Amino acid sequence: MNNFFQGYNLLFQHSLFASYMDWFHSFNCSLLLGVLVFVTLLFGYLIFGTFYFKSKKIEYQFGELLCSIFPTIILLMQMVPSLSLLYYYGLMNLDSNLTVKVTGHQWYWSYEYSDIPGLEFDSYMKSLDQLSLGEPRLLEVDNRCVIPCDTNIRFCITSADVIHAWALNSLSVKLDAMSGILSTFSYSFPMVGVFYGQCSEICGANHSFMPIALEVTLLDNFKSWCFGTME
Amino acid sequence: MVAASATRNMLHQYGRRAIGISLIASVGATAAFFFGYVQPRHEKYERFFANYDPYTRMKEICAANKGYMHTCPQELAKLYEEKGKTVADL
Repeated sequence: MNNFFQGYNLLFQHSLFASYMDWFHSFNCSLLLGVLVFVTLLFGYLIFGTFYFKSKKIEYQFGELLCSIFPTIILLMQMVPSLSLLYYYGLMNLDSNLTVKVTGHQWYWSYEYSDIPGLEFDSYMKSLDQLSLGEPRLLEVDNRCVIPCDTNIRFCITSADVIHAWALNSLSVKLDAMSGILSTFSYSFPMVGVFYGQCSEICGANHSFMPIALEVTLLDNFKSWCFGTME
Repeated sequence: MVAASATRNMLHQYGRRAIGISLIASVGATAAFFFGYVQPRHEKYERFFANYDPYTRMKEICAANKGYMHTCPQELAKLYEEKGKTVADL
């Protein structure tokens, strides 16, 4: 049985910004429903009405004017939350406490913590024979990217060869990784857990086999993990 | 130019009525979906994030001891042992 967050809409969003994106999607769906009802009723009137319009050239400039006014109103209604989300996204990028450099390769990801000397590793997908019980197929990696929660993390995303895209679906994150260009964004993760993503730009034969595993944990656990990972 | 039909005003009147009825129905459907589904969904998100406690959730995840998170104390202890570092008692 589906609960409120499953089945009929986007999956559960794991950050406040992503929940706003979910609201914007549902808001657009409500406008879409309104347009669908409007067009369906008018088509019903034209089809089942007692008047046959095709045989006569009935001019109706007011109706044509409405065909311009209604879409304009809908676009204006969409403009306000859209620009608000862009503004909110801009505010998110003002501050950062930790920098993580993500480099896309064919076909794996490299993570480098610039603020912590010596903490850098590659992240490959686990093959089927390496998976433990419960680990997702084609998503689990050998070295997860671990970050603390409730901390502004700045991600610098680039590529060493072809174009990749670092995407996390449940967090509304998707940035292209291009060679020679450093794409940056800041994000704060309020929930602890493991979040999965995939490369979202066709990058070759193994494009489907370079997943992203992001583990958000407490700050103390993150510090302990750093000490344990470094040589 | 085509001469105006004798029933032009009647057709326009019926057309305006149809547009009006369709517009009211569409606005009603939009409002019903928005206030009946979209806003309650968003309010649930707001309540969830307002009441979310990462420490409590972390305790729940680590208490299960299934190796889900690699930064649980048990997993960190294993990591330290593999690196040959000293580990205090859990």
